[in-house]
Amino acid sequence: MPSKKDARISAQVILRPASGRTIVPQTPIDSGNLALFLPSPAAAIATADALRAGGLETGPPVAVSLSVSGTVAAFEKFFDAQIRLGGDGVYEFVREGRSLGPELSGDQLPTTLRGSVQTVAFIPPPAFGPTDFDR
Amino acid sequence: MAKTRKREDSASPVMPARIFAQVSPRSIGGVSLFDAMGAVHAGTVANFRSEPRIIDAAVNRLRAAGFDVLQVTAWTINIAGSQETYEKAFRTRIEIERRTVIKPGGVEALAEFIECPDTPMPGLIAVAGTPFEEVIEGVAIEEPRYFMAAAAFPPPVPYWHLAVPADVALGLNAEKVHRSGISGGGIRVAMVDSGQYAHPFFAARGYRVAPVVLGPAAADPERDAVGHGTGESANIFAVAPDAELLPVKVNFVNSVGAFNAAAALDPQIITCSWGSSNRNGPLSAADQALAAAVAAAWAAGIVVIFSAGNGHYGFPAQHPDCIAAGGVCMAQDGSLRASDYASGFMSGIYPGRRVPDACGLVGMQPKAIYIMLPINPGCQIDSAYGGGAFPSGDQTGGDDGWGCFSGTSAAAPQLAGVAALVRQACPRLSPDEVRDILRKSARDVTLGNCNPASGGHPATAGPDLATGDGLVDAHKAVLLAKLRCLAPGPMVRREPGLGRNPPGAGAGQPVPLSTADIASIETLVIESELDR
Repeated sequence: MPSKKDARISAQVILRPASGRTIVPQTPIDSGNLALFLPSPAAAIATADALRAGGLETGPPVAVSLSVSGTVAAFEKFFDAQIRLGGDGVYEFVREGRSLGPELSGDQLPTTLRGSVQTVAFIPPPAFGPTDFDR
Repeated sequence: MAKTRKREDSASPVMPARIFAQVSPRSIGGVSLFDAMGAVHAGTVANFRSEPRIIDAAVNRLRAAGFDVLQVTAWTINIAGSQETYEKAFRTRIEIERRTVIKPGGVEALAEFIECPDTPMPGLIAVAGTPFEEVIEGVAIEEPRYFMAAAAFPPPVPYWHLAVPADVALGLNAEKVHRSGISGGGIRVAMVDSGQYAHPFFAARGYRVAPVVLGPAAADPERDAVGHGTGESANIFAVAPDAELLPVKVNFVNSVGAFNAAAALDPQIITCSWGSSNRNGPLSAADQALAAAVAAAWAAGIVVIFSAGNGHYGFPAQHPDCIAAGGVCMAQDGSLRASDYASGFMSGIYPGRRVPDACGLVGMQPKAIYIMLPINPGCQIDSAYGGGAFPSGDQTGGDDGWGCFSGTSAAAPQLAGVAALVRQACPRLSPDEVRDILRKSARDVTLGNCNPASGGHPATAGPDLATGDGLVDAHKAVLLAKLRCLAPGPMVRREPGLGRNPPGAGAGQPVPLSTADIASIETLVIESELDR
């Protein structure tokens, strides 16, 4: 079921490492290897500028990512995809009726982001903590 | 004259089956209670009494019309009846009107009022032209009413539990630290959670709570619909009453962005009572973004604390650049055992990473109902736990602003409190050193098992997967921190070859303590009888 267009949502924008490496699941990031995955400050600024120019809000860049927030309608316009809430409680991107899942990467990204962004990801709600009481 | 108030909502809600009202029989003073406006006070209220014969006649006519008469006083008659009964008896119509009110927790929301549109006074039904006219002045329909604030004192409950701040402070051996002048002053602790309600518990004690910072897409900074953040934050103040809390409200569609918002505040400590469950990986892109943010915060000198989970394989708790908070339950006689509600496991993602590092005070299965915490009245925790019998419910009211709960969600802010004391005692300590101190100074726990869902590992002598190094001990931790401040450099990564006599130290000159000296004294502190 499509989400309400005026609902405010947020995703995390994971920037491309300046080293040319790629952030992969097999290499967990910690303080020992973090430097290998940091983006260039210029890329972070350019990404934030592009998102804001598209009517979205951005959070502070921390480590490898920054947050992007806005209405469902603004997300759909900027990312050229429908946004819907999946059965697992995580938002997902939909194009031409086909779910692309909670992440966009590579050619799925808007052209303005492809040079600086590796992935845009919707975040699942926590498995425990405040969500334990959500009934 | 008909009402002209603006209606907030044109939808047609359901009229309750029983509608309650106060009927005013004709007053002996000749002026209707409903015409008196502000003139009813102690000096004039006698004028609004009614004669007994008038009251009796009114009661009889109301009963004959089909109303239940619930209470009769010299001034009013309390009745209940259906919509049809009211409309037929008083030859009018009544309907529901939605208006904005302030509900418990200071929340502005719509409430449903039952109104008679034929009268100008809110809630009044006129009786002119009806058989009641001779004996009744008017009928006032009952309105929704709300408790406006929780009490600063918790309700009594008949089972063993801990109170904040005193019992948690005592259980973690923090009171001695407070009396020594270390209470978290100057330390800023960011907590990423569901929000922070201005409960009187905090204001009455003068705790320092900064305005809520909204994480991405979060809203309503005054509101904590869950109660989790408000309640668990009391654990910080129990241990570090003079720390400053920086609440960051998370919208659960982006916990990573909320963590980043906390890191951007540049606090000394970040505590998070939440996480995902990830036993062996792989890490998603979002996980990696959070892992990197945690690593960056740690590398920047921020002590990061995450709850281990309640049967979960908690992530980011298993990240090597944070303190993983597990659970130990203290009984009324002071004995300790591993909480079977709290997680304990070996990470399948970070080789050699044991979770937890150390523990806070956490209750036992089935719901870890253990610490009485302040929450906003009527929030999700209040209503979910209120009313039921222990150990399934907390036996408090469902809207009283108090809830008894814990989990490793309570442990993380407790460890944050101890870390705040440690950082005040020795501000130059790195996050690695703070973690090392919390672990070395913890009280070993040798009874019980952690949550079966994460392996049910037993607590044994020495470090183990059930409780890590055990229950944190604020007193010993601060002593170790003070000792570390005497050392010439970091003690976690020890530098080889650092001799007793540094270059330039000649005969007759004071010789600074070496890291080896400090380590020896630490051993004495850890093994001492100081806390007994």
